[in-house]
Amino acid sequence: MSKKALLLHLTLAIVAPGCLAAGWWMFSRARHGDPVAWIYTVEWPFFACYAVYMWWKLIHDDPASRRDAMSVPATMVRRPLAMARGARRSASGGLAAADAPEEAEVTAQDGGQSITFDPYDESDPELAAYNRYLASLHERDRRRA
Amino acid sequence: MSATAAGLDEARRLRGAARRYQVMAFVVGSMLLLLVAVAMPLQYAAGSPAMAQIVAPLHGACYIVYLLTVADLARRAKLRIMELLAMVGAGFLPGLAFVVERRISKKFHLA
Repeated sequence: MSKKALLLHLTLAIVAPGCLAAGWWMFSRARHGDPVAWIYTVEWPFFACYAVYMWWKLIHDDPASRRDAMSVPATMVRRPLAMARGARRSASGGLAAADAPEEAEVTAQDGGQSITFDPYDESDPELAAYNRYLASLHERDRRRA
Repeated sequence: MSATAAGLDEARRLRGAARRYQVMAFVVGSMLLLLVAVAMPLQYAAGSPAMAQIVAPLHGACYIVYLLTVADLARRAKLRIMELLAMVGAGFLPGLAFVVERRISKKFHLA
């Protein structure tokens, strides 16, 4: 078990029963005539569930696949994205071609036929629109910095 | 739907989730400040709990909605554990909401 997992288990072991205990306390107060406590009687079990959800999510969080989707500069997204698309176009063909990021063009086999894909192909309106969108985000950050 | 359209769609959804988080962070942060700086002194120093009885449950309800926006954002984009903890803690540590909101908004390219 990793240190991170141990820490997460420990945190959950303290937080979840704590939330439930607080919920129970509020429930007893509500029964004894504190109307506001009814709201907290509902809230604390929700917090307990939230703690379990976050624990589950973080336990299954794979650091290797970490991506900060929108904080990546446009130029870094543009090429891999376009190449991923080219690789997908080649459906049954090998994905090996997409592993060479230095190549401006990706060539893949598709049923014996060769497909050439240009990631900077501006004639594709969808791809061009996406590239414009990324470029505008990048430009805005650059101005702000 | 092509891969490009799916990517654009996902980017827009992520932006929407970040925007919803931003709004709720502002609401919860403001309410907590109101609670700590005005309602609680009124209750414990001036002995009039009327305002606290309204603001406290309202803050609790908004905090639940806020936590849902945090979970939604964390589902769409990977956040660091410390970022998540700070986002959750922003609901009960006065002032933290504004600091964290600024940081997260910058990360997701929001104003």
